Amino acid sequence: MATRTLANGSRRDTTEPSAITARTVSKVFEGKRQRVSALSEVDIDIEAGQFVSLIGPSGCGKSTLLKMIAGLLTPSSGTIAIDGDTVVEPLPQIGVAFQKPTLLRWRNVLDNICLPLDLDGGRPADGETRARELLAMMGLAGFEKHYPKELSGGMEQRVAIARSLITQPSLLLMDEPFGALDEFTREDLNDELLRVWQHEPKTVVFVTHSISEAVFLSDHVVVMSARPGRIHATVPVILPRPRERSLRNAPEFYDTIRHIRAVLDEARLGEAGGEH
Amino acid sequence: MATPVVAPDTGETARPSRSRSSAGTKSAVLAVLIFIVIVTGWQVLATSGAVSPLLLAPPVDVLAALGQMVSDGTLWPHLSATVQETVFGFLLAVAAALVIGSAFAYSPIVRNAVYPYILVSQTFPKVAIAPLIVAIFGYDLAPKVVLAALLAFFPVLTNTMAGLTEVSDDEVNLFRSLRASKWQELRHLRIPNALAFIFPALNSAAVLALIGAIVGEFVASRTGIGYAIQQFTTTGEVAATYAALIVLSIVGLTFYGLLTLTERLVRRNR
Ligand SMILES: Nc1ncnc2c1ncn2[C@@H]1O[C@H](COP(=O)(O)OP(=O)(O)OP(=O)(O)O)[C@@H](O)[C@H]1O
Ligand SMILES: [Mg+2]
Repeated sequence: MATRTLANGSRRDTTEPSAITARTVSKVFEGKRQRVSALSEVDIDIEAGQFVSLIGPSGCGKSTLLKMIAGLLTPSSGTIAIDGDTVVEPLPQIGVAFQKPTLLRWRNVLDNICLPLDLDGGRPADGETRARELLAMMGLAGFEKHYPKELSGGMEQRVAIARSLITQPSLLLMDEPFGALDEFTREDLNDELLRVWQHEPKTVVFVTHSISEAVFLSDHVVVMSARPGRIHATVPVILPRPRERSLRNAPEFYDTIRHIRAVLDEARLGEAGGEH
Repeated sequence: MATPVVAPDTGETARPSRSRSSAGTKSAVLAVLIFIVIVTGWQVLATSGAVSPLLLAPPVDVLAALGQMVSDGTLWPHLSATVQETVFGFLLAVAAALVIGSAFAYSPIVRNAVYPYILVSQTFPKVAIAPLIVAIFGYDLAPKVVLAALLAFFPVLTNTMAGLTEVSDDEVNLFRSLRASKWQELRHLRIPNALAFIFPALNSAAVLALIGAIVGEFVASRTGIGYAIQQFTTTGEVAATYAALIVLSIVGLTFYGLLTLTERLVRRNR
């Protein structure tokens, strides 16, 4: 696994996957009427090249944590470091797929996918070819010239994912990227995502509400609890790789799902049990 | 006081694609029918004596008067004066509104200091200062251009401001995550976003500029469609008055068409 087999020389193919550490990270939003404590004393260690999922109840701070890793939000206290360097601004090696697709409505699908290239010195010779490949991988071949308003929510999400992959990032941050998809399309895209990940080694931080998706994809599942957002537990997923479709029917797959469901439940109950 | 921000054209109006052509034919037929009804009604009303001939000329006479103006060439100096005033006023307003609107969008300090004055200037009818403007700028082109520009300025200003600033946090975050420079954010996010706001405002601005030019001509002028209308009204040439009004609406429609065409060209290839 993880042999570097990038076909043609891209400007980013020398970047190694990044390691992420968070140390006592808290985030408080100072609103006009109230202050929201979104995250409290979060510690995380993500090894280079790992696939890690964040799972937890709505509002527990998953998007907030992801944005802080991306350098789009600053922690109120504590530090986040990528490969040992404290994050103060978005790093060049990241690719972000936001919770909302955020496509530019005046660009067609192909041009939306190429936006990261356009902002980074223009499209290389193979840029559009790669964009088309990614689009085909997302099951959207032939939609190059369509405009965002002509796409469904799930199609927009897939275009946004293609856009996040076009620069071959070594750190991929994905916020519920398959949230608007039906079960089967989601499973297809999970397979594709794993293929990309094995083909171009990268660290992935993946936010999801689907336990089975988290289990199928991840090396570790980080279970969070809400109000304030904390990390309740980090569960390793000990399932062999490469993971094939058949794994979804395997008993050990279900065992892991059951285990994580129990941990999530515990996280929820702990929350309901009140503060000390 | 309300700031009239014209809704941006996000292109999201549903368009029935299958029955479009047949629906198009139907509305065209309907439009022609309405036109025939109006003109016939007008003709009947004007010739029946129900309305004084001092107020309404029959369409046939209006058409004749229009033909006369075109063939003897008396229309052209008036037309060219009004078009010039409107176009210059429009361009002046748009240029000023784009520059000032961008400055406001980029500097909240400047905006908060200056914008209240512009708002106040909107609360009184600028038509009322037309005589003053004529007194300041004389009887030629200048006062009409100034009036046209004054009227056309505001909608473009508010929509430029809105278009440049109303981008979502997500869009800004996307550009930040791609390490875009301020200039790239302007070029690839804010300007394309603003165009959807600015173009609808340009249509209002063109109409307002035309109104400004005509008001200026009403107050003091030796040429222009507005001046001609005044002359025709005082000398009781009713048919010619209506002919001049028709010319005005053609001018308005032409501006509208040109702007629509420009919008297509500008927004298609990005
Ligand atoms: N910009 C902001 N200003 C104020 N409060 C915010 C902001 N962004 C997030 N919050 C608050 O922080 C908390 C965590 O939000 P976040 O979006 O990180 O949750 P999440 O775990 O991603 O939820 P979901 O699963 O619903 O996407 C919420 O209570 C939210 O109201
Ligand atoms: Mg979220």
